[in-house]
Amino acid sequence: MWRIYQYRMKSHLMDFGNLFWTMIFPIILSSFFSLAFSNIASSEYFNTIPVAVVVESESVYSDNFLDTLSSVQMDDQKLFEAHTFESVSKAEEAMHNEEVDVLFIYDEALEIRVKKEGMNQTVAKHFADQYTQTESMFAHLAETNPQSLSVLANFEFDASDYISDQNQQRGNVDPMLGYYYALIAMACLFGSFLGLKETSFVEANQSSTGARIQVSPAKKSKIYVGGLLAATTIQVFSISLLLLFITFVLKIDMGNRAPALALATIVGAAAGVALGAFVALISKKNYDVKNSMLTGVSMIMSFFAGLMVHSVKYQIYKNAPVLSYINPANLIADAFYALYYYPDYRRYWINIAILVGLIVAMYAVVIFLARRRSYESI
Amino acid sequence: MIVRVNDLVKRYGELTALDHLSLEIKEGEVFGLLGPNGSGKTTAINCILSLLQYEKGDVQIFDQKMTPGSYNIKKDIGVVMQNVAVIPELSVYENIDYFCGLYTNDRATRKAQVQEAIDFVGLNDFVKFRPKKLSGGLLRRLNIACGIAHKPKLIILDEPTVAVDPQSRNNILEGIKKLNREGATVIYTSHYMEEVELICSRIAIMDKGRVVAQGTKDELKNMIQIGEKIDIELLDKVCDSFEKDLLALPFVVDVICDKQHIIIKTRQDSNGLNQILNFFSSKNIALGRVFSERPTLNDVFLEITGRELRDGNGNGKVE
Repeated sequence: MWRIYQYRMKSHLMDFGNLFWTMIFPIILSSFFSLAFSNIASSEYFNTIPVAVVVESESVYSDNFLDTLSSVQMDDQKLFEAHTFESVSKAEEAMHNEEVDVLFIYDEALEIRVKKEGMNQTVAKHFADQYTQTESMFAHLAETNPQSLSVLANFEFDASDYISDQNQQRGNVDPMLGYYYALIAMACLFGSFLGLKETSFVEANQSSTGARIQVSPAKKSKIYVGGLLAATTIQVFSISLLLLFITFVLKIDMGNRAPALALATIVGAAAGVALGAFVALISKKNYDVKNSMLTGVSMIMSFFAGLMVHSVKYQIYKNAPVLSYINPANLIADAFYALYYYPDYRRYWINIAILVGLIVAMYAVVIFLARRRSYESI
Repeated sequence: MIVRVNDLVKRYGELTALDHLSLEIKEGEVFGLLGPNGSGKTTAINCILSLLQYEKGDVQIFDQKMTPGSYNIKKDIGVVMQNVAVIPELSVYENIDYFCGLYTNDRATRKAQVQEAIDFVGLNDFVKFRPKKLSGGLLRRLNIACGIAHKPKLIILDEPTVAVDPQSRNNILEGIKKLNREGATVIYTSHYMEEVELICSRIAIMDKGRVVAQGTKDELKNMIQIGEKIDIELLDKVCDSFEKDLLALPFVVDVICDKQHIIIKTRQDSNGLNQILNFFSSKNIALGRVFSERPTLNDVFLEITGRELRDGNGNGKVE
C-alpha cells in the first residue's frame, strides 16, 4: 500500500495539468481577488449597521436596551444606527426597502428579525445574544440577591467587552472574505480532478492501466485506498498552500483557530477528491467528458457558495436551504466563515459534520460500484 | 492443460461477440489467435481473464475455474494489452516496478525482476525516460516489460506489435520466442498472419466470434483444397486465351488472370508446378518468371469464410 501511495503521489505531482488547476490556478485567482477587492474592502470597513427598533412594552429594561444599542462603538464609530418605529409592520417595511438591515423587537424578551443573511445581520445577532444573556443575568441577580440591586443600579452595559470578544475571533472584519472562502471551496472541489484520475486509473472500463490492474492479483481496494489517499494528500497540500498564500502574501486575516482551519482544509480536500471518484463511477461518459462535467459542477457549486456574487449564497439559504446543505462548496465556505465570524464552533461543526456525511455517502457509492471486478463491456 | 475455454458465449446487445467459443491451450505452446478486426480475439482474451462477463460457458486456467477473484491464478498470468498501459508521469523503471509490484511484494526479488525485464526488452538506456519520450516501438517494449516482469507461467499478448517499426517488431517476436523457450506458455493474438505463422506452434482462426479452424500451420493449410499457388509471368500471350483450358484441368482449383500475369491455385498433393509447366510447354507458351508457394493463412481464411484475411496492401494486415 505504501509503495502504491508513493507512486501515485509521484504521478500526481508530475501531472502538471492537474497541478495547475488544483494548486496554481486558485493562487492566481486569489491574487486577482486581492487586487480587485483592496479598494472596496477599505471603503467598507466597519460601516455602521442601520437597525430598526420597535418597543412593544416600555420599561426601564427597554430604555436600557435603547441606550446600549446607541452606545456600542467600534474604533470610535457607532456600531448601530437605531431607527425607532411605532409598529412592527412599518419596521418590516423599512427592512424590506433595505433602509435597515435588522429589526429588533423589544417586548418581554428581545426578538431579532432579518430579511437576509450577511455580516451585518451576524453581528447584530451576536449583539442580541450577548445582550439577552447579560439582561437575564441581571434579572436573576435582582430576584435572588436584591442587595446587589444597588450595584446593578450603577452597572453600565459594556459593549466593548462584546466587541473585543468578537474581535478575538474576527480580527479585522473584511467584507470580502466571503469571496475568499468561496474560492477556497472551489479549490477544494478542483480536487475532484484527482479523484477522477484515480478512479479512471483503476477501472478496467476506463483505462488500459485499469485493465492491467484488474488482471493482477492485487486487491482492488488496496489500489483504490493508496491512490485516493495520495490524491487527498496532494489536495490538502494544495489547499494549505492556498491558505498560506492568502494569509501571508495577500495579508488576509483568516482568524487564529489553526486546528479547526486545518480540519476544514482536510475535510474540504477529501470532499473534492470524493466528488471526483463519485462522478467518475456513476457516469459512463469518457474521461474528457467527465473532466468537463467536474469543472462545470465545481463552478456551479462555487457560484452557489458565492464565488462570483456573494449574495447568491444568501439567496440560496433563503429560497432553497436544502441546496445549501448538500452543496459541498457552500459547506466548505461556510465552515471557514463560521470559524471566522462566530465565537463558538456550533455552525462550524454542523458544516463539517454534513461534509463528512457527504464524503461517507459518496464513498459508499464508490465502494458499491467499484466492487465489481468484471465488466459488461470495456 | 494450461487454458481450457468451453462453449463461451458473449453478447453485446444484439451482437454475438463470442459464439460458443472453445479452445484448449497446452503447456509450452505459443498459441495464436488469428482473425480480422472485430472477429472476437480481444473479447475472447478479456473473457478468459474474467475482465468481461459472459453469458454462457466457462474458463479454466491451470485446471482451476477462472473468476474475477481468482488471485491465485492471476499471479501466474502476465498480460500485455493491445493498448499501451503505462503511467505517463512515471519513468520506465518506475512503471515496470509499479506493475511488477502488483505481483511481487518482496523488494529484493522485485528489483531483480524489474532489471531482468529491462534487460529482456532492451530498455537499459531508457530507464529514466518517461513514456512520452519513447518512440512507438520502445513504448511497446515497455508495455511488454510491464506485463512480463513478474515471470508468469502464462503470457497473454494481445496484438503487441500494432504500429511498431519492423526492427522493434522483430525484437518483440524474438523476445516472445525466448520467453517460450524459458518455459512460458504464450497466447498471442494478431491480425498479422506472418507473425502468427512465424512464432505460433498452434493457431486458431477466428471469425465472427467463432473458431473456424485450428491446428498447426501445416494442419491448417492441409485443411483446404489449395496445395500450391503458382504465379507466372507470360512473355507473349495474354491469359484470357487459355484460362478456360486451365480451369478444366482436374488439379486446378482457381485461376486469377490479369493479361500477362496469371496465378494458378492447384489442389493438395497434385504436384501442381510440374503439371502446370507441362501444360504451358504443350501449348508452346513462353514463360517469364515463375514462382510457386504454399498457401498462406489468408488462403485458409478465404477458403473457409469466403472473405480475405489480408488487406489490399499485401502487408498481411487484415481488412
